[in-house]
Amino acid sequence: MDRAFKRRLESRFADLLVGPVRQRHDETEIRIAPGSVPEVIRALHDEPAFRFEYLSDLAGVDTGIVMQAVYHLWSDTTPDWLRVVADGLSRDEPRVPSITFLWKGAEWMEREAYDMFGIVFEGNRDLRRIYMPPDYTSFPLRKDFFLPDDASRSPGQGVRHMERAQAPADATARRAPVG
Amino acid sequence: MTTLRQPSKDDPRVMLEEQIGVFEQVPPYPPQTEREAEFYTLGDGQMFVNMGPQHPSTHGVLRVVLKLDGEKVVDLDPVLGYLHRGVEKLCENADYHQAICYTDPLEYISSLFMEWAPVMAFEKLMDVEVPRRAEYIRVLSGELNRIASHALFMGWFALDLGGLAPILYSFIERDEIVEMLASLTGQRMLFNYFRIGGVNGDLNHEFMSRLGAWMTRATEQVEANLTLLNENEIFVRRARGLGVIDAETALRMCLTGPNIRASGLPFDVRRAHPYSIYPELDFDIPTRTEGDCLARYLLRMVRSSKACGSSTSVSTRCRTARSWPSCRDSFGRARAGPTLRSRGRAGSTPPTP
Repeated sequence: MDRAFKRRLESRFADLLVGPVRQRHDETEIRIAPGSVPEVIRALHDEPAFRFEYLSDLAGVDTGIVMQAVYHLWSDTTPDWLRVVADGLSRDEPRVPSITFLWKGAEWMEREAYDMFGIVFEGNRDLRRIYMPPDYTSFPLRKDFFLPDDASRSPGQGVRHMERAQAPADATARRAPVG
Repeated sequence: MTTLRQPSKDDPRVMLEEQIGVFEQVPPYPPQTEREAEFYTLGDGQMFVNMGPQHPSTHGVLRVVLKLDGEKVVDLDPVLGYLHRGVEKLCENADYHQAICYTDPLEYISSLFMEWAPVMAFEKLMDVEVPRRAEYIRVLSGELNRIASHALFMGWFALDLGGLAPILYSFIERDEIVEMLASLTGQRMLFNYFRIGGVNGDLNHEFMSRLGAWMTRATEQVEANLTLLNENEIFVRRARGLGVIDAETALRMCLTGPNIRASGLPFDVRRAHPYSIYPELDFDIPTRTEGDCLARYLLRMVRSSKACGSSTSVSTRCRTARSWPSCRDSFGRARAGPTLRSRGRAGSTPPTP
């Protein structure tokens, strides 16, 4: 845990943080609003006090209540991993600005988060499905995606008899919203 | 839908008498993004060629749509294939221990590293401290797995360039290591060996004797294998200067591992963000500045001989550390010592210096 790093983060991003800076083991986590992602990430990338030039991973998260976009950053200025959580994306229409202006490699990571969670990264030039077929309609890692019935609505439906919908009693109640 | 463009009589690309068609719109649906629309618009004299998904050089199923201008690739669009296994969704319905074996086949060449990641995550979540003996075993088996993985890389790389011999030699090493790990873990490929707070079983006689026999010749053997390609004129000429990535691009594209080190950035997660017992091990991070295919190849090969060195030192420590407490089973009874066959849980003893 790098306490000095926590103080630097708190003093620099005081008004942009949502909630406290959390530290645990070798990780530091800050939570920000989705709208301030470009500003915060650019500051972390550019400013010599932070120098987070390496994007390790970008992932979508569905907590069941809100959606999140999580950025894992590395810098030689601190021994900690930095995890930036863009918190509070609405589950109906999750939107967050893209960070492809800093890392071209984030393009595919954002495509994956879009493909699996339906998070729209505004500004990504190539935001389309990456693992699922282009005519696939649902987002398979969302919490409201249930394995038996949603998988049966795939384009492969009817090809194998096992993929047909089992139609559980509460199927209509559990059906995930499409798109 | 896909439309076929009828070639005109004066089109220089028409070589045959019979009608040939050029796919005008690929894929057969309207483009969804700016980039896709740009890519799937053919300029004058350009055409699409699908490389893959059954191309011999794409291990696994990768399809690359190439946009060609004559013989020159002007643009490409990789299509990853519909291979997502939905492991995260499966893990939602499993407990932590069941989740470990799902992660093995995600990287089936060196699957110990793949299970290491979730195991470390669970340990962080649960505040479990791993005993040093288990950490040594993890590093030892992991580094062996790394050598096996790089051996396979060398063989495949040469195979793609048309050289058949190196894969035969590199498989000697790989098979020996895989057999060794099989005697340790019970599986040749998908080990499912790491557990939260330790590993599944202690080091056993068969593993240690195999390891000892292999260690005596490992470094020379691995380095002898390297001379198969490193001094091969054809190989070096084809790999040098190919696919050059400078340091800035490597950072912008989020490269990792030997790919980023070949561009001159000394980023190795075992040093940059150390875990397990890597801080105690003495190894350096070789980098190269060329950033081409040859540099990336050489770095992997150097790393595999470094891994030989570090597993030698770890195994020496494992052998000599008689003073460590032996493993205990779930009832707290002492089980056999480090060099005896034991299925006791190595993770259940508290750490001792």
